[in-house]
Amino acid sequence: MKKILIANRGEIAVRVARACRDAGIPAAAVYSDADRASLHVLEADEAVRIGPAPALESYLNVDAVIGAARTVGADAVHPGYGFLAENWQFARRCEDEGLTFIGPPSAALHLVGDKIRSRETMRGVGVPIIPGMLDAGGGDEACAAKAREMGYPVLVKASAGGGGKGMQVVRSAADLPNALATARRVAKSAFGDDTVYVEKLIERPRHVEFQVLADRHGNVVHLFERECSIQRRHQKIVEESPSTALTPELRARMGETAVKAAKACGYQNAGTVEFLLAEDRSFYFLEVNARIQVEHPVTELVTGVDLVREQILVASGRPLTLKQSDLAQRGHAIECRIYAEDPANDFLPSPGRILSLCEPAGPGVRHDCGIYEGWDVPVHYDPILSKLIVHAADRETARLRMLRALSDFVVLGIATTIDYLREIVASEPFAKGDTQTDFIEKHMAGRPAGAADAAALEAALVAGAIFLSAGSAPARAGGRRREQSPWDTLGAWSIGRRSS
Amino acid sequence: MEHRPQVILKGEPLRFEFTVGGRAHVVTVEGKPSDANVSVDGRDGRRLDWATIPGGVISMVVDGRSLTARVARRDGGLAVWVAGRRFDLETGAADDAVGGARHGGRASGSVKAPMPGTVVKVLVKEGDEVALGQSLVIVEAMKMENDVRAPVAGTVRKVTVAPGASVGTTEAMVEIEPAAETGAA
Repeated sequence: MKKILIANRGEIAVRVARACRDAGIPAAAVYSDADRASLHVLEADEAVRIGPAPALESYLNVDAVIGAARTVGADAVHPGYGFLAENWQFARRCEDEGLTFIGPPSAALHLVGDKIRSRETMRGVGVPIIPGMLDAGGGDEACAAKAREMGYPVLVKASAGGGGKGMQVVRSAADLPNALATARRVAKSAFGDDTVYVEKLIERPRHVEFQVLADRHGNVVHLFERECSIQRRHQKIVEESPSTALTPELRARMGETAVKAAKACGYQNAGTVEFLLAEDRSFYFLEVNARIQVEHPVTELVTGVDLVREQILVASGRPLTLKQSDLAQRGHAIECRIYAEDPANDFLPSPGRILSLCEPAGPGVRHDCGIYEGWDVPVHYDPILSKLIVHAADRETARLRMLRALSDFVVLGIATTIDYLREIVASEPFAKGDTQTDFIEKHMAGRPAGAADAAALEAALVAGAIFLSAGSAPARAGGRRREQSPWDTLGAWSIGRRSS
Repeated sequence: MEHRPQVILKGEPLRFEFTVGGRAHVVTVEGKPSDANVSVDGRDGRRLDWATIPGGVISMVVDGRSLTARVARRDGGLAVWVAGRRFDLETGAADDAVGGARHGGRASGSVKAPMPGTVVKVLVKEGDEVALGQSLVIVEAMKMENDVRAPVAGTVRKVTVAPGASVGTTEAMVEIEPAAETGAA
């Protein structure tokens, strides 16, 4: 590969650009008008404008993205996650244009992107699936009939969906029409396809997914699980590996099933096989996420494998050098997703200027970041700002490290979920590994998010007062004005101290 | 917001008023940075040694405990991070003429978007009776659909937006005439 066009934005575009440059391959960014000054543009070797702010006219515009690849002379396209990442027509277009799509072949993408068809395939090879609608494109009546037959509660899902977008829990027939309408609208806006289906809701499950890597030569390995049970509005917010719920025997069985699932759909490149794990330890295939996942760093930290680098190598035709027997989980990793949402205000999006940013650091702390101080978070896209990932020898050490890192993490100017995540990680159920997909409603409801202790408030008030009074510092005894250097302010205070 | 330079003089404590989450607080500071006395809401003063570092970093040593704060100016006040927590401190909001829109009197029935975004759906029309908390408009921002609900029960007098419209946080999308019992309150 000579040059890679990254058809994405935000933290994942930054992550991919770094992998490209680590591999000695120039990385070209694309940007909408809202993203001219975004970090992924600043980090790239080349950058091309692809359209106005709305995603449909920029990051989802296939012609514009292909055009950008031509403009910069890229021979490969990395789609990141979201946007065009799982759009098989886009992958096909890349293939037709002689561009290497860094992801699965369009045929495999087409299959796994169709949740209904992929389920049939899984059933065919003996992978367990959840009871649900197996015929595509059902209208509202068909969905209602199926829901009646399975019995409520049911889940309405977008056929082309991912990341829980458009997904709705429906507990009674009366609520179904509204849920279908909302799901179709969200699916249309997010994926350009309003096909939805219903399936039986499995209560209090865990969400356990397996990372797979497959090359063009028939080699498939899995890189163990990630548990992503902690979700808000069906959006994962905390992920970890290993899962506290798996025994070595169950892990091996699920891993083998994941490899079987990937092989059954002719999968290549990095992918994730998602399972629901029921309380009785039975597990069900959910879907294949045919992309690099938001939470991939968790796997990278416990396996030591750079997944984005592997994606690039596999896409260029190299056989996998990783063998299943060589792969092992070392220690424990936890990821927290940092969103521009206000937990104190019903998680309303919180776009705006980042007035201050201080990233956590130290041993075992990784921050995959898409923002910088002074940047304006735009209103047009997903509110994910960055991901904080920690690694340590065991789960409790990792948990305490995450608490420390979240406490060190400063974002001012916009509301974020940092405080809220800290409440989750500090909670007793999380400490005990008691994590089911109803974690948030069960353990976090009624907790006033970011409820501050009086001492912290007092310190904040004092700091505010000092900040305002220190605005007066330059007013020291008029007269000569020297060139200002950052040391001046410091110097002024140390002089003050000495004179005391 | 401008703050006039002030000089710290012994015997003349500086007084600052902030509002946090709707509650008023008063901070007084006196003395020099290395040996200041600070009091919050009239409580006993604490001995404080403080230093400012460019970039809005403030180091405070209070009774031997080291605390680092980061402070940035924001509309209407300050954003402060300290001890792992974020606070919004409003300053001088009460006598700030810019806040005029807030004193609009009948504002209770004037429904604005809580954040900038795009109107996805308008669920009411003029003349509709609405209950407190009823969904009026769905606004999409950052790929999330957000319900904008009625702040009062009453009758919809005016709907100024349609699906597809871009909305800010200052102009009303829906005007509700509060029902008699609510309106009297």
